[in-house]
Amino acid sequence: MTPAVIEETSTTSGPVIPLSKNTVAIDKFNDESFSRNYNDRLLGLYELWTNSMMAGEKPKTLYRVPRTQFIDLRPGKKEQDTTIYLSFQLSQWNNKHIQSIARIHESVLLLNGLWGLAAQQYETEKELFIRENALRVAINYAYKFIKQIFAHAEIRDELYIDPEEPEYKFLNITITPKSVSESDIPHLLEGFDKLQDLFLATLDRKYTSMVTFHLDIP
Amino acid sequence: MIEPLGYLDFAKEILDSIPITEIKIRTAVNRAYYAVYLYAADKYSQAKGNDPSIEAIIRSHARFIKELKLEASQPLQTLGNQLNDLKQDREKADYEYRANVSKNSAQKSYFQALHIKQTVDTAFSSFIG
Repeated sequence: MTPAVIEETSTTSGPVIPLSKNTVAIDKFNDESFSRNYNDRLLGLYELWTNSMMAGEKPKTLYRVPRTQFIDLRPGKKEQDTTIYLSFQLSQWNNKHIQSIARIHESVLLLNGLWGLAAQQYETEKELFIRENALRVAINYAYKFIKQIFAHAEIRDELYIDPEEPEYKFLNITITPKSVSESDIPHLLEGFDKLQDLFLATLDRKYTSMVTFHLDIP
Repeated sequence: MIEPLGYLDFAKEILDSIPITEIKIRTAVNRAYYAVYLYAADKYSQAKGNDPSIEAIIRSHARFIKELKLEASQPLQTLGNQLNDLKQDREKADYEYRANVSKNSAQKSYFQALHIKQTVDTAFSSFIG
């Protein structure tokens, strides 16, 4: 079974949660009564979910699950790719919401005896690492500090797996300043130290020890 | 026998050489890293009493960095972060042969190595007491 991943697409209906290639699943979803039942359960769970969120977490627009034909094979991909895509209309979303959706989705499949067909790997290895080490807040702080210190820099975070000792992993945040001349380098390194001082002073060691920074000079 | 920081002087020599080539630039990054890695590892080992378990830690670059990041002392945590930053420069210089490694990026690695030496001196003077 091909592991499913969550991806953002260019469709206007929002992100999609691909399921897996599985003809049994396709037959099942094409069954109208199953689809209606599935849709109703999803809708119920969405309501429960959004009602249980704290005020600050609530999306401005509630998730709207299409009532009909919410399971589509991608146009033009029928022959080559039988992956099922569920499209949810989300005008505002973030990774946390998507993961919650995936979990709800999984729960529904479990209720319907289809456990194993859903996105078992809806998180990337990086997302899993962030969740298991509870790093989301630390990352948010890191971005905040970086933006304070480096006005014009590209920032990207990735799961860093040591190329020589792959058992060691960090959530690595790379800062790439734009238009650097040699005379800027000492100043940039001072900023880099300041960033780490702020980070270490703000967060507990169990979080800071899992996050690394890299100042990348082009 | 050599002194680890001799590699740092060599990195500077390479960067100041004319003409400078990308092979030289990459070599300078590599030498700058090893200079301060070995220097820091040596000081750490001394501070911890040259215990065999510490020797095992410092033989693994990633593990040493991880241990430093878990230390209670903030200068040691900073040292872990700085070493990790330079290690990533070194990995790019050593492995990513298709990427461009500029002289500016090597200068940054060299300056970071100087920073690390300073952090080591500060961190271990307070660590040893």
